[in-house]
Amino acid sequence: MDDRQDAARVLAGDPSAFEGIVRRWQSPLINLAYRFCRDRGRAEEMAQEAFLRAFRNLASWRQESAFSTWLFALATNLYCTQLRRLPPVTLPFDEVHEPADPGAIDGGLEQRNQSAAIRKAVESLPPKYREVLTLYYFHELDVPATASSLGLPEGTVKAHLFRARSLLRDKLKPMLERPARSNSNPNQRPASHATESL
Amino acid sequence: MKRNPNPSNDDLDRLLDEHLSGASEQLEPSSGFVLSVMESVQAEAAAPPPISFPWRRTLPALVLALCGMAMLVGLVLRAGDSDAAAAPAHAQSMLSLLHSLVASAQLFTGSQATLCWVVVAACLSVAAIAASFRLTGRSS
Repeated sequence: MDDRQDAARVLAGDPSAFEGIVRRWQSPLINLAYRFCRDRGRAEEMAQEAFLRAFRNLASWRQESAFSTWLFALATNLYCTQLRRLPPVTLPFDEVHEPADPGAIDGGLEQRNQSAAIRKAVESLPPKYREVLTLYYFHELDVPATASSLGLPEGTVKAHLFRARSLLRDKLKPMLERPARSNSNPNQRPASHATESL
Repeated sequence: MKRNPNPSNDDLDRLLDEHLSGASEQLEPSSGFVLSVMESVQAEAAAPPPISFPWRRTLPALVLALCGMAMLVGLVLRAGDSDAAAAPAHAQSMLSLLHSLVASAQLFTGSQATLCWVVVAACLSVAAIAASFRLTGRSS
């Protein structure tokens, strides 16, 4: 069974067929919501609301586009709306503490500090830049997927990414000036293609 | 260890990719998530469809109300003109009715006038509620 068949069954009057869709997409939708709100409980609530909205509007899915594209666009729209109404607690950009000197900290603590500093820096961005940046990295550096999720032209996505990265580059400068050692991760994808696309 | 004095886009991308990508920090959905969603879906499916607004019944009344408003505005504008006397007979009668209403309102003192407007507003509200009850009563 795939999304198309399940959707056809739901539209024919069998709501239980929607379970297949939920099982296939629960993890991506919860993780996407988590990237926006950084709160597990809230991420599940937001994902549940997204599934309910998808069920209500399933007839509006034009099957020439992939189901995932339609579902991500619907979920992203809902998440952005909800978070603009009830935003997560964020610090003003200037109050984000810069990470301490990596040489003075042990590896695990350094990694945690780094993650916290990056998240805070991202959360302190204006919403339009934060949303684009979050989706771009969630969609594995895919500009067209980010653009279709947000319903924005690709040019606008690239412009917002450029602005977001220049804001972050200033804020994370001490972290970026470190030697490559601290960023080395054997499981990580090479990021060079990302800059080529922008 | 030497510092990197000129961080590139790649350095920033690597850093952000490491912390923001879908691959980093994967959450597993809680065990009852699917059940919870499907309960909401079943409840949604079982709920009766929303009652559509009775446009066919209200449209004539709305059109009439709009026409009445337009007529009233037209008459008030004409009343302001100095050559209102040139208006046709039916307009003259409407105008005289308006003038008498305004004149009678001017007879009241401040508190009486307020009371008068409150009574008029209350009457209009009751009429609107009665009309809506009548409409919904018919449709059900």
